[in-house]
Amino acid sequence: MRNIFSLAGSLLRGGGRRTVLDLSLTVVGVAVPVAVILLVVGTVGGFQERENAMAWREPTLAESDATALQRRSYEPWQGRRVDVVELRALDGNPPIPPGMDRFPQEGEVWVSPALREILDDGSWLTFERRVGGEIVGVLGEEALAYPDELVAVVGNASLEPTPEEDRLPYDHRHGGGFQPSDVLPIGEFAATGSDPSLPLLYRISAWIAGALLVAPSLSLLGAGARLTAARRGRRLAALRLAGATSGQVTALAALETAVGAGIGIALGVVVAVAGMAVVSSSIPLGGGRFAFADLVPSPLAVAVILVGSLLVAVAAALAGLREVRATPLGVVRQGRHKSPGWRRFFAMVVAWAGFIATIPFTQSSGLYVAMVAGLGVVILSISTVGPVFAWFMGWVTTRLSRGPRGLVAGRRLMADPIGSFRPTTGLVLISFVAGFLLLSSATLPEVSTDDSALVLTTQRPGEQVDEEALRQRLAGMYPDASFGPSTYGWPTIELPGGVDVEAERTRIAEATGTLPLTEAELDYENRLFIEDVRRAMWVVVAIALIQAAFATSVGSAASVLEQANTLAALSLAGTPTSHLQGARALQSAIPLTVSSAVFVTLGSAAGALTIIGVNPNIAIVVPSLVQAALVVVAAAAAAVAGAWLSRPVLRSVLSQPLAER
Amino acid sequence: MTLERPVLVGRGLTKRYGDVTAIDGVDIDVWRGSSIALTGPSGAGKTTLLHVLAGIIRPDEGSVTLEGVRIDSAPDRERSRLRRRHFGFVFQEGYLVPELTAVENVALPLMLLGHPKAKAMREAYRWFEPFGLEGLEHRRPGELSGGQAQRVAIARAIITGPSVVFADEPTAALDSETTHRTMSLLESAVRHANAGLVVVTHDPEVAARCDVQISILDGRLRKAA
Repeated sequence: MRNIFSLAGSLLRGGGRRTVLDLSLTVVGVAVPVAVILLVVGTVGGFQERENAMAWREPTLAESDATALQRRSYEPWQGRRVDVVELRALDGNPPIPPGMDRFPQEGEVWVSPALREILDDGSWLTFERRVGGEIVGVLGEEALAYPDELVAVVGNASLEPTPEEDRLPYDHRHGGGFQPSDVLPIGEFAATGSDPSLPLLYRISAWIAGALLVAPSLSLLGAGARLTAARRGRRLAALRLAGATSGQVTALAALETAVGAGIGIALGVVVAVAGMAVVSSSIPLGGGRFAFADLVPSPLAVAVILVGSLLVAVAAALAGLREVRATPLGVVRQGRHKSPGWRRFFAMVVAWAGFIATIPFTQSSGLYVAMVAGLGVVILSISTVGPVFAWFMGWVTTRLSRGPRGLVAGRRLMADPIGSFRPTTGLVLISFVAGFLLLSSATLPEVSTDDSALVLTTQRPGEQVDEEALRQRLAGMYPDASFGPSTYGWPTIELPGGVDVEAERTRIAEATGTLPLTEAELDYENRLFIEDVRRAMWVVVAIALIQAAFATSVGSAASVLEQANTLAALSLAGTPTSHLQGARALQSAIPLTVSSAVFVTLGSAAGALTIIGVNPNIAIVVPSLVQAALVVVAAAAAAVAGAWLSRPVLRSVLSQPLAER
Repeated sequence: MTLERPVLVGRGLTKRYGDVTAIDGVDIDVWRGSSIALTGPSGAGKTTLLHVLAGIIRPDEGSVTLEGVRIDSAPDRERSRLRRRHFGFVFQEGYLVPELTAVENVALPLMLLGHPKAKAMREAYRWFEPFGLEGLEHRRPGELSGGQAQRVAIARAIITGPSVVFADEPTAALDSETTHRTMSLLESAVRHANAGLVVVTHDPEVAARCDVQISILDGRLRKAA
């Protein structure tokens, strides 16, 4: 074994520029996916951390001896939402809320630092009046889900437990996001929990985004290692001819790949940490920015990701060396590529059938992870079926070609459809992701941003409002106000301009017992979620594009290296570089364009199924053909750009005399 | 052989790579219908001289003229065009495009010159019978023997009617019987096309078949026969 280490060291040291280039392909191919996977897992974990951090605010019914009463409600404040926890001690030993040093007394209010900052503009008096208390303290970070969260804890001795027969299921009070919970007797505050509303939706979305990003990452990870391993095939074949056993060649290839993958993993971790810093400082999700620490995956998750990446890279490299290991002459033989079997289509059909089967299961069980896993398998099946498209398009191109570019490109597609499709896998996956997101974005409901009028809502769902009595009372308070049509069954009032909305909202609530909200506030949770989904959509597409750009240029560069001698010989014989470049660009662009069109459609279908799985009542809206066509054009352009980016490698290959190869 | 002037002329050709002088003040003439063997030990400068004559690399000093026109100072694009139109190449391993069939490989230079694919393919098919390759038109290079692949490479080099064919160790990977057949074919094809032939070789038997044998040592011509 020591000899193998020594030999691997010699090969790496003595390989010169070409070994550095090989290693670079592996490093990039590993670093980008590692960074993406760490970020995705970190973000999903961040949402779980948030759910745990805010679990204490939801009253949990005490099984036996209750020590306090608790109610959770939300107060609209300057376009945002304050999470208000009201507490009343039932005996002398109530639990101490997180972030506080004692249980609040009647009329005492604790506020989060961000809320305190907002109230420093002089509006604190209005806020105190609204919640019925006096601000006496600032909540510690243990009470908060994220640093700029708005939270208030209020001691309220008037709380009385909601009679059991009047209690409402959780889901019923989250239509507009402002209905209060029941008043429940509690024993302790919940330390962890799964919030069945917004945070859960975010976690599901993060998993879906993860599935959309991780599958291309795995594809890139495998491609980088496999392509460079294929490049080393000839050298390793020489070792086999010199008498090295299959096991020794395997060990050598694994060691070489492990070195590149190790550097890639280290680089990926650095990029991921930088990404976490960017996300935590500049990308608000779910109402606020993440704390950096919340985005750091657990040590176990990090270990699994890093070791798993190393193993995948090595396994992919070894898969690329099957022929060398089987026979020393394996790599020397040309024309060995087989056309892809139609079994690949069958694999995709099975993946889709499995995914579709998870939809009713998810709807009935609420186990979203099953649907997300099904989606992940569907995405992975794309790289399986892609070569079939590549072969077919090669066949068509060869027959339709009139010049050398099309002929060479078509023949290459037919001769090595798997190798031809591999560099473009990332872009095809993006087409799928884009189709998924286009449909999701089109299907998301429009939300109101109207804050011109206050809607006089009731505190309990289904509670009737005496509209006429309300109008009369408010007309007395605001002679200049106008009343608008009902919204969602509640009357609306438009206050004269220039009034302090928060102060008047407080007066109206006190006078009428209603919760006056703007239309925008009524749509608060939907608006927050939809805005975040649209923002996240751009982040996901941007990350996916970066991955695809790397995948395409890595693949393109590696294929230039694989075909170095042929390309150089053609160039020496006078073939213009533009022809060589053109054939390579066509080789990428042709299968990509067709595959993109197919997978944008399939991505939209997957998006529709996923949305139905989450909420079967949403009406699916098909995205416009123009948008879908733009995705296909962008993917084809990116393929050409990817081939163009690898021109320096082509130039380097062409400038090297054949005799030196 | 009655020839008025050489088709390709090199004068005072010098090429250096850093401190190493690969060829040093070489004068050489290539005549139509005539063959030249460049021999010498590895690193002597044979391939460098071939590449300078073919316009693949520029000499540091000296000139190369093709039918009276200087090509060494032409821009890269122009030299590529000249190579496509006037030169044919045969390499040690053939370097056929592995994905193309044999007939498509032969047709490729014509297509690169702008001929329609159908016409180029028709022309390419014509070369298979005289080259003893009938029945192999649709095989890939990986499905051909070394000798067959080299015959396809010769057809590819000759199909455009070049002025000069350059062959860099064309028989190095072949056995003696195949070497004999391949060289016979190459000589015959070049003569038929009335082109000049420049062969880089280590093989004395191959060199002996050529009209002129030039030995190179340390970048200088040592003798001519």
